[in-house]
Amino acid sequence: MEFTCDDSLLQMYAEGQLGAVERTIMAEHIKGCPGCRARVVAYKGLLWDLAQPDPEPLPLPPQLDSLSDRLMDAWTEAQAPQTWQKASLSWTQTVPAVDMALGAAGRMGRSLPRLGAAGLSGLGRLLRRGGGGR
Amino acid sequence: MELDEQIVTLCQRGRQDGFARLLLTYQERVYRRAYSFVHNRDDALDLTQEVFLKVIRSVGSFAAGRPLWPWLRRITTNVALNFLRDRPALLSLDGAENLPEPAGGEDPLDAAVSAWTARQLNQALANLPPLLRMAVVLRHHEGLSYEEVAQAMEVPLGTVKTYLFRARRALRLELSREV
Repeated sequence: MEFTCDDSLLQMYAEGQLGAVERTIMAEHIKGCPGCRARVVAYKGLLWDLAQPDPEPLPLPPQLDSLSDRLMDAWTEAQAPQTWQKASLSWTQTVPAVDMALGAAGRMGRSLPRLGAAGLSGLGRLLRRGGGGR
Repeated sequence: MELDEQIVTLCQRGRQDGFARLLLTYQERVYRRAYSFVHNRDDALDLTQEVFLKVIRSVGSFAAGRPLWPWLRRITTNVALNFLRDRPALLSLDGAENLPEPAGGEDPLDAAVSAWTARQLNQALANLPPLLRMAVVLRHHEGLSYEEVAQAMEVPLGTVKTYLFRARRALRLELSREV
């Protein structure tokens, strides 16, 4: 066993993270070390595969739709005070109202029943309407 | 980038359609990233909700013109880290990375084939301790540098290197048992 058989060095070599001198030493070493050569090949394959898009993307849970609706409600509540405040007021002046809305939304938690029937119901309606209102 | 700027501008005007576009564009991505950190559907949904509640609170101070995803990714990572910190059992680094090296070394030909499937790789990732998995996801799925991963995970650079070395060794060993 030599220091060059160190697994972390092999990973760094496979990842191209070694400096020029260390890289040359490692390249020489793996020529004569089948075990290290195998690990480098395996790490290069692993790094390649990790960087690829997942061919089987995670299925999305239906609860994501009702979460969208709840978040839209939280947004609407958070914006409510702006309807009577002067346009020149800064965003930060609405923070107490945002906190109230966030508190309400947070209390809903995951136990809330689903609100949306299917799809991005609330968002879809809103964007089809193209409305800019609050 | 233009879409991001539009979204931020609309949100900062208090426009509902701005936040709706933000959700349409990024909610799934945030959920998938949260899931990759915690590997539990309900927890990932909770984390997604928390991320966007934080967005509602702070989008007003976000600089329009900057890309949204790095910001959302940072919030998602922070929220996931807080989630893990509240559950000390999940912070353990013990697990698959303690697998021993196969006796007698490896067969170079077997390793060269690299014949594991994406499903096997995902399963091996799921078996990693959460902190190791988070480091792998940030480094290899998100393409962050070691320094950026350290910053995102709020740990020293050396710790990130340790996480990644242990995680990748565990993945290699687990996958080599399956092919």
